[in-house]
Amino acid sequence: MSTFPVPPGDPAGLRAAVARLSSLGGTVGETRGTRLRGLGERAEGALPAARVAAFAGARGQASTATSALGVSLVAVGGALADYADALETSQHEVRGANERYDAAWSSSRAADAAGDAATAQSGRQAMAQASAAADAVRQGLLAARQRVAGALRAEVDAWVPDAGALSPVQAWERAAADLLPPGVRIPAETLRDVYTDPDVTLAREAFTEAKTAALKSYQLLTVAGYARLTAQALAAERRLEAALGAYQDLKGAAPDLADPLEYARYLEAEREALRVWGESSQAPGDLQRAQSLYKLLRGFQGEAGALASTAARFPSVASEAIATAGRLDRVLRPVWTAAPLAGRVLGPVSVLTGGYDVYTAVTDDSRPVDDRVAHGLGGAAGIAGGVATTLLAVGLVANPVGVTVVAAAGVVAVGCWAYENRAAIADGASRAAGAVGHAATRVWKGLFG
Amino acid sequence: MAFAGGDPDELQETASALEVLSLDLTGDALAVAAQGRSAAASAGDAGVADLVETALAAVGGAAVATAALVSGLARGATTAGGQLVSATGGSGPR
Repeated sequence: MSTFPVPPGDPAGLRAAVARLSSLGGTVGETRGTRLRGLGERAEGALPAARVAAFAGARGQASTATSALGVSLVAVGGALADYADALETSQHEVRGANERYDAAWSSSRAADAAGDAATAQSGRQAMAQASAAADAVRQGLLAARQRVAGALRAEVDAWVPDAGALSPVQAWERAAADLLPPGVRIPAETLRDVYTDPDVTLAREAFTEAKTAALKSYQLLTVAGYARLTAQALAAERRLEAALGAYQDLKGAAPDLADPLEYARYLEAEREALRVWGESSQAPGDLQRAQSLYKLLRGFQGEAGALASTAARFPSVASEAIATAGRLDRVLRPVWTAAPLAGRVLGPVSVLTGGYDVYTAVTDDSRPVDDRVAHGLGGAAGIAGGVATTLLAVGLVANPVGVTVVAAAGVVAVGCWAYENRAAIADGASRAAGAVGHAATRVWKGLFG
Repeated sequence: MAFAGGDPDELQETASALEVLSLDLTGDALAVAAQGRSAAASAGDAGVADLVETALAAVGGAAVATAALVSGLARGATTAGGQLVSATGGSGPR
């Protein structure tokens, strides 16, 4: 006979999911993130200098996303481990309360039949105690449920802010859409299909539409969105690194989760990582802006020049905090070191070649008018980009608008060049050129009206 | 047009590796969503089950977007390499 219902659920199944989530968190947050940083460094070393800053910006955003995904998986795993612990304890306690209640009930009935009033009374007291114990267990599980629900809602809010009640497939769809830059979208129906019928190959085919636009939109979003970029404050980042380090050390030591003490330490490490992650988004606005500007200028002025320019613009922010813009960016140091020389040489070269393009566009009557227009526009973009690159490199300009001019000029120049050479470009290259031209239009409209 | 340096071969190799990374991230996204369903089946409590499946679906969706961004980086590296080759007639810095 079971008087008190045993809470439903499978703690072992939950812990299996926790173990898998912990593994996935490490894979996405560390392994994939490290690969992305390494590949980004290689690509940035091989790109034309004028494209490095934009590529690095987009890559930095993707690296930040992998890191945040890893922490989020750890947080969800921590919440589930908490609930598995509470559920298992509750089930165990309720079963014990049932056994004690049943034994007391039998004892009480037998005592009543034998006329033993004292024993019968003792039995009833034991029944009442078992009932109170079961009630306390229910309350404890309810508190754990509320705690876990709060942690899980926080994770939903992190990826789909202010969304209210969402079904799983809606959360999947919204989180994917929100993280992609404006103008880049994966069709909602495609996302729903992939969620309900998960298959990696199908998913990859379905997401192809989003690929072409992703880089172009995102690199420009990174520059144009300077004023609202979020970055972690130095102190918060250090705390996050320390918490993650402690958690990784514990996990790397293969803790015996069957040991209550080990399990409690494991949970505490996860909770600490979650707590500091929550704090890390509270970086002061000036620090966020200073770090973002520093990262943008580094590609043109090198580390020392970018630091000096940024410090002059944000005198209230400590140089040390500005320079430590993120552990994810340190791998690019060789690129930033070479940046000033490249900018000083290549900026004037771009001005000269752009000027020559404009001159030939005006004077060469033998070419079709549309080709001459494209040639002239490309030349003008080259001049604008070259001037901006030079001014940035020598420190006469140190603001996001200058960086934007370089990025936009590069896009326009390549678009015009592709138009001029359209007959000689294969079909695949033509599609890319069209996308470049489209992106350029959006840039100019978005930035300058 | 002026192109400053660049290595098309390196860009192509890196682009291929970035595409593989994007594929891995897509697999991770689907695995995360699958764990949400698995954990929900073990939760017992309907509210917790719904929340954990929703939370992991959100994380998985964000991973999908990250995979698309990484694929975009691969596409960008490929395009830049192709433009370098075309602009220099295949004789540029390699």
